[in-house]
Amino acid sequence: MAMLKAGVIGCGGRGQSQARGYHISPDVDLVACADPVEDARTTFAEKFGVSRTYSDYRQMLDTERPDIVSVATWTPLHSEITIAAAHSGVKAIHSEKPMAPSWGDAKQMNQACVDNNVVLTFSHQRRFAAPFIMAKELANDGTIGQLCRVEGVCPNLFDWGTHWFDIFFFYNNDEPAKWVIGQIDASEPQEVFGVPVESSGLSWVGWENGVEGLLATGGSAGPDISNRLVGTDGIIEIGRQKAKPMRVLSTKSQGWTTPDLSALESQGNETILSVLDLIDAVKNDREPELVGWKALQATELIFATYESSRQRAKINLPLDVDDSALVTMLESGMIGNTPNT
Amino acid sequence: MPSQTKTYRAALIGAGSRGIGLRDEANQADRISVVAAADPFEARFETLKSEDVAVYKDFEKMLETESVDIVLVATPIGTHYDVSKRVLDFPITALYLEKPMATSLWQADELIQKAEEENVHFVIGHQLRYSPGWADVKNLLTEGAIGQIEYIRARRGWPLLTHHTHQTDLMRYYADDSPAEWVLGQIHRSGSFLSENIELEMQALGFVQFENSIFGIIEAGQYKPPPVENMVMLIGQKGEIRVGPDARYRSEETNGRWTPVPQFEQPDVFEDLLRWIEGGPEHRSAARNGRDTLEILLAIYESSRSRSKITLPMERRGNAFDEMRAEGILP
Repeated sequence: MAMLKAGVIGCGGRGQSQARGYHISPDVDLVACADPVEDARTTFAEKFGVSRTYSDYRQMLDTERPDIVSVATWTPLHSEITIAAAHSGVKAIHSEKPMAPSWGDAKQMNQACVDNNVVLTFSHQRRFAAPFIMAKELANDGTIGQLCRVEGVCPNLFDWGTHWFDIFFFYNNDEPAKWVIGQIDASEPQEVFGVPVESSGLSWVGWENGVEGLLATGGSAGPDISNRLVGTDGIIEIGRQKAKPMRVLSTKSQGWTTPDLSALESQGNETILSVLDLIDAVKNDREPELVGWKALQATELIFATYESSRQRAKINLPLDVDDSALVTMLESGMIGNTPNT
Repeated sequence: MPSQTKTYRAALIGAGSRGIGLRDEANQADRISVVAAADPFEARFETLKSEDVAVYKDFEKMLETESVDIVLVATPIGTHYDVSKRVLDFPITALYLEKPMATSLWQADELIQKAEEENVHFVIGHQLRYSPGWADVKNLLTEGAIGQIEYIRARRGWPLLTHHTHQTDLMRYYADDSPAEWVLGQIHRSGSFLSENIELEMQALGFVQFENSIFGIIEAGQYKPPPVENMVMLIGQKGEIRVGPDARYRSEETNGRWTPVPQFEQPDVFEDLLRWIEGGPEHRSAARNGRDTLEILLAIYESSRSRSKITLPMERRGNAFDEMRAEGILP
């Protein structure tokens, strides 16, 4: 098979992280990069030996005709760039998370790729990180009995929460979710990569198979636990301490144990593994692990949680509004520093 | 000071099934005798009459006629405030009011203030703080069985005010009644939903941050929860406790195996009321605890209404659920 040509749009930190994947792949030539900031694209080009740089990503798409494109810009640009790339004839697109600032944009960018037969992935790369793979294994091999509940804590639903919603689906074998009820507080709204996020939030999710999930966000949202999986016969905790990233309590394990993650960890950096998986999927015409429909599942939970706040109700999925209730409510003054209501 | 051999005369207001149950529980205390009962429905009097209980249709008439020390109020929830306020006009020693004590904070605070002014020992019927199983967990926690509590999750398949009030109150009991700093919550209601004859939510979710850094998750409602409903779960640094029909825990010490929560000796809820009256420690279900539990539940409604985190103590003193229904925000 001929070498695949890759181009990276957005030459900041995440763009560079993704580029490492293309750089070490024997199947890919990293041919170009695009960024409106000259310093950023020059640094990138030097680091990865890229000869051609562009200030306008459209020009890069037209001139280089890459097979694979990485989109590592600020979030509001993901959708526009992905749709343009999908129409430019690329085989695959790897976009940063979160997908887009609204549910409508997220669906559109995925649909553009489906319509143009383009493989689309998102960097929910936790699916390639050791503790999460181990947790999924233990949640499904009977170690903690039947999985009943998944929990997560993080700063916000959108930027970080997209990882935890995605990883909830990962643990639960990408079974479909059924409903969401939640709340957000935006009395001190913050922005992450150009998109407003809540100051604290809460999302309770019910899956079709009976598993439930709870995501709590905000500065004081609970203890220093990233994820907790509760089964009929045990508990798995991730991220308790840096020195001990994971522990398991099971009737089979004689008290708390720390699984050996060294084999999984030796496989490498999760962002690079994500990119390599996409390359392999393109080569072998298979679905990559971080495929768009999975990202959509996680993204739907984010916007459904916002919608639950707006409607003051439980939201049955699929979500049938296209805007971001958080953004709309902030703009109209329904929530925020000095809400109208 | 009342002597420790004194027998207390008690009167029941509201002789429905919960009232009769309460009467029986009170009578189990050696020094309490329920001598009178009031209920507007005379049909409820037959059994009481045969047991030499003086019956009245009108509770005020009863309190004017009978000289009683303790009044038990088990009327419909919507009447708790009016009835109790009137009861506190009479010279009584103690008032035992069924949960929830009221449906708004201003009502709860007014009752507490009046009870204090009248020197009445005021207790709310969150009796699970005395029930075997539920109460034993508190002793187990004190022994350090699961280390420092990180969070407490309480779920109940019924609404907040009528049912989850018990689980929320237990959450507070296990968290040493630490004041709540803030509450974030949501409710769901798609049409009429009656619980104990009052319109309430079908599902509710709440996050409570307590001052002592414990946080609580409240899950309530008709959503067919797997695997069990009516449960309080405590996650500690060393293990987990699940309290429900069978109280059990697991930790390093139990090798990860579920182990029954051991039984501890619990005082009787009414015997403990007498001890409080006679100078002993405050009753576990003293009205100020019932009030703080109510505030958390009302804060969930207020969080839904205002779409924001609610800092406690709450500024708004009403009931946001009723307000939203009145405004047509909720069906």
